[in-house]
Amino acid sequence: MDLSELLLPQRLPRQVVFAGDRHAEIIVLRERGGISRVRVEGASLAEGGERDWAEVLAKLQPGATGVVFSASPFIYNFFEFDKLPWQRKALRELVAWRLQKIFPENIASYDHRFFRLDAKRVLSILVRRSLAEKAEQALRESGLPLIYLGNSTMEILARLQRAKIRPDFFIESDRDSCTMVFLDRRSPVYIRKFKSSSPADAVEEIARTVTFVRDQYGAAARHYCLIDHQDEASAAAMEENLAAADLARLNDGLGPAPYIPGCP
Amino acid sequence: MRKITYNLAAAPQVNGRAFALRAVLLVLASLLLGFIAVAHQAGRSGKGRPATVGAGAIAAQMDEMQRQGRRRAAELASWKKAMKRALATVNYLIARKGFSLVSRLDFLEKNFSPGIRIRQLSLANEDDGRMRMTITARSLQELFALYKRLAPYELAISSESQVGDEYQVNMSLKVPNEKI
Repeated sequence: MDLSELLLPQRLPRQVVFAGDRHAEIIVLRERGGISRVRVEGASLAEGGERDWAEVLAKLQPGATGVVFSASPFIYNFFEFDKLPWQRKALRELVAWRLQKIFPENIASYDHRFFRLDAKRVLSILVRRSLAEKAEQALRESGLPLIYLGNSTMEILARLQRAKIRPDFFIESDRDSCTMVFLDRRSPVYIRKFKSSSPADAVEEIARTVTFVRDQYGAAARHYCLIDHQDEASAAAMEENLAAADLARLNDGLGPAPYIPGCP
Repeated sequence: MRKITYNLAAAPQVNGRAFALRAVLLVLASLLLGFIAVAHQAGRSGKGRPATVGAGAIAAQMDEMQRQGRRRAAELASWKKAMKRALATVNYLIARKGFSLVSRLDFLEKNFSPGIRIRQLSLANEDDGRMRMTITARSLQELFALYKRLAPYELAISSESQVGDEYQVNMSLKVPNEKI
């Protein structure tokens, strides 16, 4: 955490739009700690459809608003160095240099942020600038101040840093895609995103990924948290299937929407 | 792991209440630090007196050491004086012991040519004593050659006279041990 973040804490929005795969969800944090949710099916906000944005914006209340995208439009990379420089500028140059070596596209058209994970590792996150610009433009035209533009995976990760439970990994599942984040002492060590055509495919891919991480990282990947953006029934079905692969679900204390900043 | 805050919004807002709380905490922390600093300074100045006493004791100790140094220097000087006399005596004895009449007679024999005869010789039994002698020579050349050879030995000619066909000279010279 930077000094500016420590001294100037950001205000979190009371109203957040979650942009998932072919759906959006408007979550309003109530004063007494509860939340209200409105689901907009078929909205693909990450793809920037104006009609989808209009449909969602029509349901928003006036006031400071946040938008949280699912993991789909984001690109994650872990970079490991012998030693990380302390100076922020030097670290930025080092990470940018490493990124240029592996990233085939024009980095200037992407927003690049990175996080120091420990003395040697950095988590880099890329997202197209146009995604944020479209969201900003849509909310500006509606007269709603956009004060938060986040990423559901990072929100869950931040929440797990404070949570009592310590899962080995978490799964963020949506209609078409799935994201797995493997943790070592609450710090991410491996992230995988994949598309799945069916829940059965997703479970198979999850089991395969767990085996891969066990082999490659020697990590005890057994306990997981599941954040399903569809419904309880789909989450229960996935949990049952994963139990067959000797994977145990932990979800205590994560709250009803752990991918929303400030959600109880 | 550090806290992850991922917010791409161009205009995030500052949480006024949390900022005020942090500001108040910072002010309180600054005040507390100031109070601690003042208390610490006061504690240090309170301890100043014993520190002065300590400095006085050190000064007295230094004075005592200087006094001792002076006394020891005087003792050393008196020792040196006493030793000097003894040393001079010892050196005198060594010099006497080292004085060689034989070496001096050898020196004369080596430097005097056959035409020159020593009529009288007196030697002082000490290193810096002069050898006094009366010599006769049959020719002036031999005499001058002798003068030339003895010149480095502080040769002093007190009288020179011609008696018949011989020249008689009273002279003295000094031959230190190290030149023999």
